[in-house]
Formats: sequence, structure tokens, C-alpha cells
Amino acid sequence: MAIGDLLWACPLCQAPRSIHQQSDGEFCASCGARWRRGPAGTIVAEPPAGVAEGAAPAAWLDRLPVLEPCFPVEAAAELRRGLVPDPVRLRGEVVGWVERPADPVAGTLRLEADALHFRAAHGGTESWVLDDVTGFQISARTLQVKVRGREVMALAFPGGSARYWEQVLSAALRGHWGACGRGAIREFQPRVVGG
Amino acid sequence: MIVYRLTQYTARLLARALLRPLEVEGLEHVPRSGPFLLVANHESVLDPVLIQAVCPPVVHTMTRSAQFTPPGMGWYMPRLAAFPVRRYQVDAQAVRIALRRLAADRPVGVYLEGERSWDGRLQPPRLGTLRLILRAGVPVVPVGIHGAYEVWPRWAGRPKRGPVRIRFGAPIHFPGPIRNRAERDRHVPDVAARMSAELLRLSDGEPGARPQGVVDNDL
Repeated sequence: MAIGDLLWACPLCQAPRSIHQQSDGEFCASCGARWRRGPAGTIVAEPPAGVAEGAAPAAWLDRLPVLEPCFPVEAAAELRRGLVPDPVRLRGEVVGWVERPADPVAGTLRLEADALHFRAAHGGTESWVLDDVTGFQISARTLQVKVRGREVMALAFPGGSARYWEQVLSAALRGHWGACGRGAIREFQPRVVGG
Repeated sequence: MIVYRLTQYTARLLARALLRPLEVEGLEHVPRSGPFLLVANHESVLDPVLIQAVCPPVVHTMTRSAQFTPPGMGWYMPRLAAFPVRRYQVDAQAVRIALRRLAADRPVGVYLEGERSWDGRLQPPRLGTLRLILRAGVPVVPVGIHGAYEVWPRWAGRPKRGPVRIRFGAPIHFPGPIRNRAERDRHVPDVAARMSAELLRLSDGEPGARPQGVVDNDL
């Protein structure tokens, strides 16, 4: 995990998906500010010209811009599907079920106003209409998406931010529901709930 | 049980060496026998380890199913008294296991928010957790963890040394067991408000950070 996973845009210059890990730290590709972990869970920004500023993560998040995605949004992604659930046993007793993820498939994720498309690098495209997205949330560095009638999919974004995709998918769903007359979305996680 | 106690012992040693200081308050509120729900705030990956390290009885913890998938974890996690809960669906099996553990006089641990906080603020409680509290009808021991976020926030790749305080509150007795879902849902707002306030108090959260509403995960 990295600061760029939390801050999907640079709070100083507002550029989205701009904070990236480099060999000597995390930097904003737009304004050049260096981002590092400060004392007691704070995050410190060091602009190239200016004074370093430290603040709690919540304070930085409050300074992020309001996201208004411009479709299509595209990024390199790795898709893993959850396979058939396996039972977890303890001394013969089934204590629950887990989904074993399949091998990752590299490709490109593309979000449009009404659908998600994944184009595998070795060929083939799959599409999921936003109406069928019943839940999504981020876990570690992946965006997990549940589509009606399908297994859970985990999407990793090499060099990108899963939190950005969470935000952009939220905005897309909100817009799509509004356009379809389905009303406002009350909650996104872990299930999309209207009302 | 051997694996649990060995892990508990090791975690206790490591926690006391790495977290300076590790303060534990209110252990007298933790029942030494009988069923209860341990309900904590969740600010770091360290939380379950710390709770199990300091809590005398074996706590059976509802754990995200993905934790069981790395090699060896399918064997290890159940021996830590963890049982999986799957996301995005009504995981009736997880609820059944939790109720079965409680019926066998064992404590069960859950997190009010359902997942770790990204920014350290207490998140809205999950509806499924609130329903479980009302369905179980056992005493609820609130646990406030303070400092674990600063030691190892969700967005950081490794921990840093720092103080952590774990504070157990007095058991709360909510109405229950309530089997009727409509009746359970009538009590949900009260339980949400009480639990959020209690966890904020115990974890020294800011009153302004009090979450609004609940998140529907429909357990």
C-alpha cells in the first residue's frame, strides 16, 4: 500500500491519479510535491518550492476535488475471478466458505457511462452493464466488483489507484441510476442500495 | 487451542516490545465465562492480533474470507478461532457459525464498521453487525482501540512504533434475542447510535467524527 492508494488525486494541485511511487518516495507527477508518511499517522507534503505541510489523512481527503469523470475512463488492469467457493474446515466441521481467486489476466479496464469493459491482453472482451453491478469495494490494492449472477472479480491497477476507481465507479453508478430514473443511491458498500 | 495460545503468547510479547507503550484498560469488564459479543472499532490490520493478545478468553472472530486464501491460512486461521464471512451477499453460514459459537458459551468478536478505516475516523456501523447483536441477545462488550491507526494505517506498507491503548467497556445489554427481522430493524437505530457513541468514547474519537446512518450489508 502507498499514499497514492489513499489519495487518488494530489490535494495540492488537484490532479487525479498523479501520486506515484518512485525509488526515493512518492511524488506528484503534476506539481512535483513529495508525499511521505509523517509522525503519528500523518501525511506530509513537501512541495518543490514551499513549506512542508503535515496533516491527518482525513484532512487531506477533505481537500480532494469532487470527481466528475469524463467517460470513457481507461486504465491497465489485472483481473482475477473468484472461483467456486471452497469450504473451510476445522476438525471436520465446516466453519465457512472462501472463494479461491483464479490466475490474473492482464488487460485494460474501460468504464463508460453505462458499462464496464475488460479487454484481455491476449484477446477477448467482456462487458458488464452498470445495472448489474450489485456491489463493489476496495480491498488492499484491488477493486472488488460483484456483478449479478457472477462471481466476485478483483481488479488490480498496476501503477494506479484502486481508490480512484472506487470513486469513479461510484460517480458512474450515481449518474447511471439518475439517468435511468432509479433514484439516488444511498450506499455503495458492500452492496449498492438505493432509496 | 494450542495454536491459539501459542499465537496469543507470541503476539503479546511482540506487541509489548514493538508498541510502546501498549496500554490495556477495563479487562475486568470481559466476562471470564459465558457468551458475549466483543465489538470493536477497526483502524488497523493489527486490531485482531492485539485483541486476541490481550483478551483472556478465546475469541472467535468473524473474518473476511480473503484472509483464508493465502497458502497455509486455510489451516491456520480456523485454529485462531477465526471463521470466514463472504462479502457482497447474505452469508447465512457466517451468522449461523457466530450464533452456534455463542450458544456454546463462547465469545464472538466482530467489528462494528465491517472493515478497516482508511482515514482513522470511525465509519458508519454495518447493518449486519447490528442485526447480529440483536439476533444474538447476549451481552456486548465494546472495545475501543486507539493508536493502532497511527502505528499501521491501511495505506502504509509497514508499521511504525507507537503507543496503542485498548480499552474494554462495560457490557451492554441490548434487547434480544429477537428472531423477527422487522422487530430487529426497529431497534437498529438505537443500537447503532449507542455502539458508535461507546466506541468513539472508548477509542478517544472526536465527537464530530460520529458516523451517520448505517451501512447495509444485510447479514
